[in-house]
Amino acid sequence: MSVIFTNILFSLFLGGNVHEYFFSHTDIIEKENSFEISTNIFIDDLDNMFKKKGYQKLKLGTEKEAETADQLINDYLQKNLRLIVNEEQVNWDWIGKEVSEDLMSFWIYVEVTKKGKTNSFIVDNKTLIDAIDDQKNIVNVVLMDNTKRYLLFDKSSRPKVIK
Amino acid sequence: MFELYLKLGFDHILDIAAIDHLAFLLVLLSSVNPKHTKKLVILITAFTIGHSFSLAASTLEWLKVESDIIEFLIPVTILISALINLLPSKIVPKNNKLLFGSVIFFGLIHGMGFSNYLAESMRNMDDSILIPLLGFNIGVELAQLILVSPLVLIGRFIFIRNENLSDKMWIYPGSIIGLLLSIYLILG
Repeated sequence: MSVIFTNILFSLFLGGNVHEYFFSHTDIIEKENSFEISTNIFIDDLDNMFKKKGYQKLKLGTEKEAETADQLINDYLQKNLRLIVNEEQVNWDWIGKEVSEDLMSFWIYVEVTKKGKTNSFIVDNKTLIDAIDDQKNIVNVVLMDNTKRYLLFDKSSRPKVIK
Repeated sequence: MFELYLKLGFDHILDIAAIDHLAFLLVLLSSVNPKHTKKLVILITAFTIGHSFSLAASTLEWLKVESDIIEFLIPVTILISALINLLPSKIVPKNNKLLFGSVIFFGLIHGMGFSNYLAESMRNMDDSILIPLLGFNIGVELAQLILVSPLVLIGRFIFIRNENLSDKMWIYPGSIIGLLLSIYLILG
């Protein structure tokens, strides 16, 4: 309740939620039969990006959120957060999304079903870089063979080879 | 992981989104004429202590404040610091405690802003947020030092050579720019 109140209060002063950092954070965890992917992304950044693409009324993260929102977000992420496992770009299943406790960001969950052993793994994350010049995407990859990598993607980054 | 967040912190200061850092540094530097070596050293030390304290306080969760409130308080502290510099000493006594208090307070709320973000973004992992927080803050400090050093050195050169230059010539420009920036930030 107090979170909602302060949000309303400061929205009046500041014209909406503000944040100083243009970051996203993604965890990619390899399990026995799948990769579990969770992405934390600021709602207003996502909303602004879609507005630039002509989607004016998605009202992301509100009760009036457009029904098409999840599909749009999924398609956008699939294009920009790319996993290439065993030299093949993988598709994922949408699990769901939730609003963070401070109401500033989404947690988006997707899952990739594995096809056998992971021999090679390449990741790229261009999320929001098309809309925000300073956008930085942190990707944390944990594989079954105990490979653990913290990666940083910005506008000049290329896909990164993990193994 | 440390290096990644060090780079994030360093780059953060150079982003336009971190204009509040520059505004605050400008106001802070304006408060002490760079020809006074001792005062300058004390000021920079206070700022570092402020940041280090905020680092510890936010990591250990001694203090937890909503990020919206923090983002609002940042320009307010800049505004107050600029006013302390600009108002005549009859209204605001030129008191170092007041100045250093605002330095520490700014460091505190700013440190919390990032640790809130870290705590949220790293909630799925067992990793401690201490390493990334340390990396980010050291990156911030390094970038700030690099930005501030030439200004201080040029200021020292000018004010030591021209003994008769009024302190106001140093205090006013930076404080006024900082004041205007903070108003711009508050009004969004």
